[in-house]
Amino acid sequence: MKNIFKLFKKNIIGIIGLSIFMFFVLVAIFADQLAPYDPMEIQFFAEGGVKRLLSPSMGHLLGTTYMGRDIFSQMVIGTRIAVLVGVISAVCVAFIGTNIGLIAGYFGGIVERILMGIVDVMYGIPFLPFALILVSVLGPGVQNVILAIVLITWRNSSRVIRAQVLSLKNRTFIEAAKLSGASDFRILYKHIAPNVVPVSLIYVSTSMASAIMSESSISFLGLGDPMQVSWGRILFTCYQSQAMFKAPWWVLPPGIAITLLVLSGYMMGRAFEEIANPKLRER
Amino acid sequence: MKSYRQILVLLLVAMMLLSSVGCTQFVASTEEPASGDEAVTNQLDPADQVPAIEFWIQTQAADPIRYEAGLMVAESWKELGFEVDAQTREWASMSAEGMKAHEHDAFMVKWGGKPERVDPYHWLYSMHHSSAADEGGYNIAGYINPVYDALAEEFATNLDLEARQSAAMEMQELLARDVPQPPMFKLELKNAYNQAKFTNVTPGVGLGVYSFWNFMNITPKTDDKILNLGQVNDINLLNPLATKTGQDIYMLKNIYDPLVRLDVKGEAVLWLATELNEIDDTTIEITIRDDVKFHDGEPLTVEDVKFTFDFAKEVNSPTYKGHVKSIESVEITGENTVTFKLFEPYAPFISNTLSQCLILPKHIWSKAYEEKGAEGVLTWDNLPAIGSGPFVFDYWRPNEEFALKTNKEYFQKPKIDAIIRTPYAQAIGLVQGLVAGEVELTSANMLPLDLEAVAKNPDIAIVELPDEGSYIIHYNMRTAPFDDVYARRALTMAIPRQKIIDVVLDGGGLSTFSLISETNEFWFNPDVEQLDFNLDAARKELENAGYRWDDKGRLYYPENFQVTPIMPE
Amino acid sequence: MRLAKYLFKRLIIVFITLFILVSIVFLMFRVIPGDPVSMFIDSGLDAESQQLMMKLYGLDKPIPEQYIIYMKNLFRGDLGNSFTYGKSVVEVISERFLNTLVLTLTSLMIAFTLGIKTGSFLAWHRNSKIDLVGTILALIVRCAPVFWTGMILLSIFAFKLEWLPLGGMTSVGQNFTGFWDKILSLDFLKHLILPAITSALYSMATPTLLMRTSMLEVIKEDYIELAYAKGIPEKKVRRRHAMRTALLPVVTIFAVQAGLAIGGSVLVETVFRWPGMGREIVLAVSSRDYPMAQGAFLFIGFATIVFNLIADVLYAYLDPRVSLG
Repeated sequence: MKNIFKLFKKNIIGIIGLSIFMFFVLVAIFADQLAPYDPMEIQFFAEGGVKRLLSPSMGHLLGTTYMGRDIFSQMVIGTRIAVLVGVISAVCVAFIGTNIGLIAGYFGGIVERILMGIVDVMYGIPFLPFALILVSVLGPGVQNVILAIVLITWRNSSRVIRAQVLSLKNRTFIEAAKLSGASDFRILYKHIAPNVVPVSLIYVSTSMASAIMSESSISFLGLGDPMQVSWGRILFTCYQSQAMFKAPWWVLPPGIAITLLVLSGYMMGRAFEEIANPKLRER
Repeated sequence: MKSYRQILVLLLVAMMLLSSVGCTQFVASTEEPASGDEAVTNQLDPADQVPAIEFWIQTQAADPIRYEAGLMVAESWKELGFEVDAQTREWASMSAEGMKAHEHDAFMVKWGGKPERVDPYHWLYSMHHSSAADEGGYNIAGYINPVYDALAEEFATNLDLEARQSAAMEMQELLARDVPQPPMFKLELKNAYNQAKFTNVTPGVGLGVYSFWNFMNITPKTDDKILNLGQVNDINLLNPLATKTGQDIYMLKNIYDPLVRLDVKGEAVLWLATELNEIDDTTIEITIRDDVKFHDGEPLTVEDVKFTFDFAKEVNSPTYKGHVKSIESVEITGENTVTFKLFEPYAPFISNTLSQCLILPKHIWSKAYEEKGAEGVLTWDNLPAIGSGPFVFDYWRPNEEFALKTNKEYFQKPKIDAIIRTPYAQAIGLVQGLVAGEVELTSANMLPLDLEAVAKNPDIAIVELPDEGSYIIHYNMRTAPFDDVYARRALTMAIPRQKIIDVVLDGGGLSTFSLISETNEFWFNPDVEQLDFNLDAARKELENAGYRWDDKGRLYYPENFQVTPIMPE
Repeated sequence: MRLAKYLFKRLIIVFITLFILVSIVFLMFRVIPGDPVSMFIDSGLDAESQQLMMKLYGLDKPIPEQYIIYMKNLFRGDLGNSFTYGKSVVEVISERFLNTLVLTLTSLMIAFTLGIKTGSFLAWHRNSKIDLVGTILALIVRCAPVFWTGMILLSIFAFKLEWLPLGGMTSVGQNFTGFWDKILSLDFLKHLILPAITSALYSMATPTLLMRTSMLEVIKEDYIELAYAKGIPEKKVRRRHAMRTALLPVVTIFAVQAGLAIGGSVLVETVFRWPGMGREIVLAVSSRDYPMAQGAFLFIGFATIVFNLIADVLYAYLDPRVSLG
């Protein structure tokens, strides 16, 4: 087993991805300190008028929305939802997907058939329409958005993990462990699992990317958490207010932020892919 | 091996950090009742604390106005010391749980000012009589006041206008005092049309330029006599017995005729009927025109009139049900006369029943009934829709165009040759269409940003008209704290009406204190108590009733609290 | 024979999947708060009328009975009547579905044509600056939310420059004689450009990167070296030999992408007000038009599954190394 950490450190794309990600994580953690205003507070001029659609200035770094809210503060606070949704869904997706893949691959037989059958069915479910209905059933809220994402996307990793396990199952060291009387559980998690970790990590990173994208898409359709500011919701409000053609300072930042954070996920994923598949490294 | 653990641990730590950050935010945003620190408060019994209000507001996607206004109201209520849990709900669930099941604490609705609501039967009787307080009834607040009920019954059954009017005035006073479901504000509607191509625009009450009278009167200035009407949504269903939305119903009124129409002010004028003869409180004899033909050439007779009302009852038409349920029977009593017999006196029979029931051609619908049965008739798309009205159904390509052409043989001819109605799906497209000259008329309300955009085309003129409906908060008098009139009055005085109008509507609105619009002069009572925004007065109201605050500003009930549901005389 | 058996097996899975999908969606709609008639309470549909409506829609029956009725009708190809439009769901959906299909397929054609060209170009210039920049650009475009790209393109080309319409599928006052007349008209094309390009940009990265990787594999193969040795010009080698072989995996991914794109069409359709399936599903869910939403979901699910199936079969057919299992 190679040293993943060391390999990762050598991978430039991976490091760039990680840096972008860590930047957003830091912003998320210190959001309260960084945001100059309450993101939902309507800002008024001293003489009483609402600060509608102000272009960027020192007072409002990224300008204001039609309802007079500070866009910079919204961006900063919005980072929280993005990172939160990204990380939690990614970990859940990878955890569920990996375990299902492991179990299906290792035990085979009827267990495998049932589990992979479920995966087949899951592949037939179109993600966004499903998420739409699910959020309508459970009510809008970050936790429900995460649930919708996790429920659908775990399918992606389990197929590949299963294939990995199948190729490992008959290796000598596994046979040896079996002969030495190790329990299935022990073989699965002590001997096989560590070998699929790099592949699993690919899915952690890419699931994070797709989860962030999904959250912003759901919010853009107006189904996000109505009491929390998120990047998708900033764009939704902008699109809905009909001011999007007039206020580039309102349209651009959320899109750029989503792109960067999603990109960081894919970049880390690519790095893990190169680690998992040595053939790719040579290019 | 080791390194993979490192990464995993790193990720886990990051995740926990983040979720804790997230959680604190959730907690902060809902402001949990601090039940753990009773000792700190100044000897107030925690059991006396006024229960939290679950306040439902519309989702931002459905209506940004109600969403923003709702947030502002919630903030203001919190300032008074109430605990408010503002939640957004989709309209579908808010209407089922609140409007229908009455399981709400408080929620905000916009009630439309339709022409048939000019006679304020809906506002004053349906929405506040105790008989409508059960599940499904329109008395959503659960307002029960015997004095009011007596007035309401007088208002509903006395055929003498003066008596009805004086009852209505008194009822408005009671409502303004007891505030079961306070009206807050209404929009100043702005419709747009192309003045280079059309003149004589005649907006009607409640409908603006979507009114029947506008389509009848609008006059082309050029040779292009086709009116291009732009709307946001498409027509859904042209079956008069089963359609549900206003956009459909008011379009159907151009194709079909009722016996009576409500004019631009909402007053009943004879249409298919030439004479109304009130024989007694429950018997009305009606004579109809003998020169009207359906669009397929068949004459419209009393047979069709009788058939329409009987048929609507027989197939249980959901659209007609509310209107025809007061009718006991319809009999043909002459060559051109029919006699309606009512179960009991019903004052708005002419303005609300006769004006809403469109006369159907018997030969078409009885045939459809034979072929499809009762349910089939109600699920039928009724295309092409054949009526007797001034406009004839031409074609309809869903989501693209819906077209009507003028009925050349009609007894009163429209000035235009055709109406082409285009759904734009979104206001912004519609505004662009107006500017570009694709459409010449729209009843979509022009918001401040839209006005800026249409100003680019000097041919676009704006018609301003007051909205006849208003935005209302439905309290629920069945639950605390809304069961107490002092709490309701204080909460009402904490609604920042003017601030909402300035900030959310950008000045395009008016505060309202009665459900009846002040433009509805005959019924409107201008002298009711006005519980306008005044936090000090709101606090005073609570204080006088004995309400208490702890040192954190949270509101507590008076000692030995007794609920006062309505203001004592 | 083996292929036939494989297909048969897959079709059974498709069948089961659809069955489960329909059941899940059916159930989800019955637990969703709200109902399709109380929404009209404020426009004058009183309690009695609401009950009549519910009865008319068959929603007064117990849920298991509703389910059995729905399933029975489904087997006869009847998806019920839309509550909103009063028309048969199949009729409404097939029109919207066609609109979605036209948009998705056009955008995928653009994405794959450009993607394949770019991918092979990048591979040919492997390890150069162009390759690096190109790869990164492809990644970035892949990561930009499609609705955001759409908003920006709209601002520039429709609002600022006024070259193209702001949305919708056709202009006001157009009178088309039929489907093909519409699809082939200039007006339709103008409306199609922006949404098609928006989603093409989003789906371009996959064929580009895949083509690049695939080309890199092929370039190393002996017969390419041989072709060079024969003195065939580089351009010809690239086009005739390398590209053709490298195309296989890219072509198979087309079907997978098509399935994904149809599921994700709701975003582009929302931004550009394209009257397709995705928008219809959003509307149907919010108006609680159960038959419509169920039908739309079924159609999209079906399309996804069919495209997945095509992808698998193509893959198996084209690549003999894959065992049909």
